[in-house]
Amino acid sequence: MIKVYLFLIIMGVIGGVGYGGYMYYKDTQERIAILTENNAKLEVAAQLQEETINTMIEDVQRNSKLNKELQKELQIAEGYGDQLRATLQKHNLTHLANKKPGLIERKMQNATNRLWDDLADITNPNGVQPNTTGKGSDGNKSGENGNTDSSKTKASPAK
Amino acid sequence: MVKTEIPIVARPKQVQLNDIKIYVVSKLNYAEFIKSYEKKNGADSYIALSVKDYENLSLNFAELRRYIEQQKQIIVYYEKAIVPKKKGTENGKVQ
Repeated sequence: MIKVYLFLIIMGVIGGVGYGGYMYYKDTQERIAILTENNAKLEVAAQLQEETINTMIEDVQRNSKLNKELQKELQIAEGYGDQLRATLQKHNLTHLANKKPGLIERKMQNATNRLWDDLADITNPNGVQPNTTGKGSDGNKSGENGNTDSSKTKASPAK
Repeated sequence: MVKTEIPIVARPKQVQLNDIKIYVVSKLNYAEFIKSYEKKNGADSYIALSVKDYENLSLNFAELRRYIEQQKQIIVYYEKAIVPKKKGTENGKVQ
């Protein structure tokens, strides 16, 4: 009889240990599955975050580059007026007009025509944008003072 | 990141400017000017500008030109800034 009880006790212990082991295994597997899922989510989130950061860095670099280009173009656009002011200060237009009205008239006319052309070019929707620079410089002198031949020529006539 | 794509609109049409004729008149060519002007325009009335005012007019046009050009460059800047970036990567992976 004792043997039977002992057997039952041993079997109970073994069964308990087995059940405990099984439950532990099951619980561990569930935890592993959850942790694996969490890990995958975190990896995706981390990747997204990294991509977002990279995108932001690229945007900043791109905007910085564009801004530099814009500042350069804005500065170039100042060229026409600056050159014109310099030319008008350098030459006495009144004196030149008194002495050589025909010459000055021709140069003014040419410069004015060129200015109209420049304005038409600038506002041309299909026009080449970057070259406004070169034109601008020339246009300035010529535009104001008048020679068709070159900016310098124009400048001279003006004054 | 979701970005709103803004369509780029067409630019306004090019300006079409009318030609103008400038006369520079001094004592040297005044008589000749009156004669040729009347012959060409049929009248001897005209609008005169002093040299100083001509200079100011030139400077005003230069200022307008600067403004147009800078405004245009700013538009170009915005147009470049809103261009959507390529979505694919080197691996062909879509972000």
